Amino acid sequence: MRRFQEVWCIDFEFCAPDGERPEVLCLVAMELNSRRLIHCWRDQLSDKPPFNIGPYALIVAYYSSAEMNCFMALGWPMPENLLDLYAEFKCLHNGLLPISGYGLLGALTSYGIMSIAGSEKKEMRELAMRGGQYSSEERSTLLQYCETDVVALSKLLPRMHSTIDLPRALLRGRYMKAVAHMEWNGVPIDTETLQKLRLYWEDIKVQLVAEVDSAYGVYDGLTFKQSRFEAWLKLNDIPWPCHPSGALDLQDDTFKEMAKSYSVVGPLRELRVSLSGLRLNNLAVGRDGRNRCLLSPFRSKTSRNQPSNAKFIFGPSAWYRGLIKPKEGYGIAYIDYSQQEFAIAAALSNDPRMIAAYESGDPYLEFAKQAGAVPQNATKGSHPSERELYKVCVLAVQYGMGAERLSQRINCSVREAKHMLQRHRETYTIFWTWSDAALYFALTRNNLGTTLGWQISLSSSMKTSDRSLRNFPMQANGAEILRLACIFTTEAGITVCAPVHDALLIEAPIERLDEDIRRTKDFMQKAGEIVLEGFELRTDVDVVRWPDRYMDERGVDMWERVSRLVMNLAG
Amino acid sequence: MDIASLILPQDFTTEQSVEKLLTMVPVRKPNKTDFFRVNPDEAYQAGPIGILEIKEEREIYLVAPNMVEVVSAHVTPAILVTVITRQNVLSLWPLKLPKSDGKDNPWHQSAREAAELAKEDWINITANMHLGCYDVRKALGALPEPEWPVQTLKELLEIAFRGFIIDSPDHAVVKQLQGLV
Repeated sequence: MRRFQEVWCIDFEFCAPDGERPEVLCLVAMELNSRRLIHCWRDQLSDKPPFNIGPYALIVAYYSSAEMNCFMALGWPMPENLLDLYAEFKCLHNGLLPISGYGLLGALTSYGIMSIAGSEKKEMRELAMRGGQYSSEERSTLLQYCETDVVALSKLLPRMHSTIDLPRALLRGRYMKAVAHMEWNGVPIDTETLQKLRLYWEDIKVQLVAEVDSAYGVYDGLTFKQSRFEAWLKLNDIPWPCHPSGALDLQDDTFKEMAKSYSVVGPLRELRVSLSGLRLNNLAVGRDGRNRCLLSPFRSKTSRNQPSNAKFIFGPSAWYRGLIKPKEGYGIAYIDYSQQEFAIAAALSNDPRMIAAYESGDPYLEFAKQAGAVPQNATKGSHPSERELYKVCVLAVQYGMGAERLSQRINCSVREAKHMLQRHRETYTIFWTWSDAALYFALTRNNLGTTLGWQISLSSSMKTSDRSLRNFPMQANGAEILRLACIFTTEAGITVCAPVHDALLIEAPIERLDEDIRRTKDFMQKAGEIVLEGFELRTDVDVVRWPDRYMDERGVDMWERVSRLVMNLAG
Repeated sequence: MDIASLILPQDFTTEQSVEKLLTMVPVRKPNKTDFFRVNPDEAYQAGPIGILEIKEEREIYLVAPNMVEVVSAHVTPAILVTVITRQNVLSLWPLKLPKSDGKDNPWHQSAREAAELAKEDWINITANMHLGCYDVRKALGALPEPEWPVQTLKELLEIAFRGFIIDSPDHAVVKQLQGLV
């Protein structure tokens, strides 16, 4: 950190209603060497920051994507070097569950630094979020509050300093700048249709239940009846996972999983998700028709983003994604890595058979060939069911699924499922040796890290399953790859609307769309090559040009059903 | 910023955080559900040696050369070969040889033939009671070569026959066979 002539701890207060870009209220910044302090209400801020953001200055913030959004709102260039103490605190304590959480107060508590009470902080955030005009007393209160966070940062940094891996921390800071870009851009939404959906939603719900439930008979009004569902399962001979108590497991993940094995369950799952809560109203769409919410970077243990399911258009209900529509003259492209986790497993373990399977272009069919289940000249067309079976097996291994769950998934005996999993072990012995080594490494050192330094720590109070630990290198390195891809694309000026697990949604004027897709694919490949040391990841692309809308194939039926109901209701 | 220079290794196998200890080497013929290979290296083959099988207890003893005469009526000459299954289970397989009168047994003969084939390919054997010998099947998939353990045959023998070596007339099995206990 000595290479920096200036180290500025900064914090903004801002107002950002759901879906909107932030409206800056004030800024406080403190230079740590000189202790110089800057307070600015919004009318005192000009078109450039009142502090150095060049190569010899370090900007320090907590959850800095918010600060970077404020930079964008003010039309400021991004700082050259950004250190986010949230990302660093989360990285250092990932898996340990600090007593007061991962927020700034949690970090301060962890390091024994006194701070303001949580209730006071909440009150101040509410005052900022109120927006509108502020009295001079309110201004002074907000500036004082803003200063407490900056002072807190100035105390936190020296305490964390020795444990921060600065080069990689600065890379995470770069990602926070990319997050700000993506949050700023948001996802284009067909607000006209959304408005109709919201207007008629109560009626739609009733009619949806009537339509969808006619095939199941498990609803009483708008209430899902477990006893009726149990009877339906029995009638249809579907073995459903249960809790140890014997009660049916009705979690959405279970529905999602079962819908993959029993397609008849799919519409019921979509209906349940659609009816749960007020999701449509919670979808955060700004006045400019963009879905915008906190992307919640580094929130999951694997460091993947974890935005709110209710606020984010890529939440659990696939049919909502039909609301994504480029504005006139624009196109969007959903570019995702093909079989990313399989590829990462192959590359990191350096298992030649697994690498060959990925490089074949169809790892599932190649696995079936390698395991001797289909002839060497088999194709997707000649052996579709075998390919599907081996695909499920590959995914089961990736998710750490046991034989029992796999047997439910592929509707076979537990013995057969065990045999399938064993075939994976036998075919990819080098991968499994590596996976065992990763697990033992974690268990003996209480820690496991990625290529770019994200880590998970193990503690006795916070159990992390063997399954999660085995999967960590694939998921967390996958997150590293996508972070790099976000950095490269946003820094190159490509409009990234959102990162979605292992994909990027980009937007461009139609005449530039193909070129931006090509550049994005190149950046995504470059990101993969860096993390996987030369290994080439493939990407797939799904392009939508105005006036078409985006559609997730899993949600087509429900989208069409809902659209029909809206048309009928709207007359 | 040269991001590539920040990459940390992920090769956990070189870290040697644990070492798997070989504590059990069964002495048996491969199970009917196993596909297996036999180590073609002669250094992993022992014999002919004398073995003594107590079928009721499913126990196989290694008879020391000085004791072969003492329990000769119960001793079977055999070759021990090192076997590994697709599940990486290591075992020693006693392949019985014709007795001193030269008479062979189709079960033993087919087992020896299967073992020979298993030096090159992944093999499975199952008893064919009607034929009176083992049916031998070869795996057709392009299966990977086995990874043989680092232990020497001597070490494998020590693990496999720990407590199962008849090396003195006072051995409980000898006394039992002589009706002394």
